[in-house]
Amino acid sequence: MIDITTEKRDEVAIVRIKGSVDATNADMLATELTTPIEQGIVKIVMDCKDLQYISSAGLRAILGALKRLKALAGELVVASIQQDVERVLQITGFTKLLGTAEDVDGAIVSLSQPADVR
Amino acid sequence: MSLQHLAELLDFVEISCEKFELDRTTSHNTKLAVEEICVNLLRHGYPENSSGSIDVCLERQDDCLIITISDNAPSFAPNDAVSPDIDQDVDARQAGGLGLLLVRELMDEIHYDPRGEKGNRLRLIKHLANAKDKENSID
Repeated sequence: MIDITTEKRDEVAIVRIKGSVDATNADMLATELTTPIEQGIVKIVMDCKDLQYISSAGLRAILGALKRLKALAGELVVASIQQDVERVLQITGFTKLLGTAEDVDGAIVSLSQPADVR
Repeated sequence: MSLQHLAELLDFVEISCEKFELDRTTSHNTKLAVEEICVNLLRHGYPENSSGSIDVCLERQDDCLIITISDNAPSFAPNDAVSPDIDQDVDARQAGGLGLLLVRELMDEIHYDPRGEKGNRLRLIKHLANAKDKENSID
């Protein structure tokens, strides 16, 4: 069960994910992360407050977006991440690839700062 | 079993964990391990248009949860799979191997039992704190 909505705030896309991302629905996450990039938005916040579960299929979707963003000098920050999901990101080394923030507002502030002061 | 049945399988795992009165994190990790093993089997064990079965059994013993996954696919030992390099940067990172890495890290023991033409049997064990004896299984 998954519910994903995207809100655009200035130059940032906020992708809110509710529920579980598994092999049956990871394509939906890939599409939601890719759509803003195709529209020229290269700063993305993933709001993970209600994300209860993510498997490697979801990580594959995130990695695809990260690769595209890197080529465009963009950035992806995860906000409000829950403990079990954070453990998944730590084990797989994704915490080294992604920016993290306490909440969405913190993530937006982080994205608006130059990289050398974050 | 196909990817279409995965949601049903994961529901079964979640309900079983509830019945076993496991905490949220153990339930989460069990669901994740079952998904990763089964999706791996569907992608690599059973080529497209072939058919086969995957049986998943969860059993709670005194101090551990035992997850037994049996299939009739060609032999594949998860412990032989190469771990991905998680220190690589974004450009070099590949998505392959992350599922089995998660299983290895989130479960306490992995026992692989090749059964020749009958397929494979994998037992994942998670050590627990509380005592209780129950069993749940699905085909």
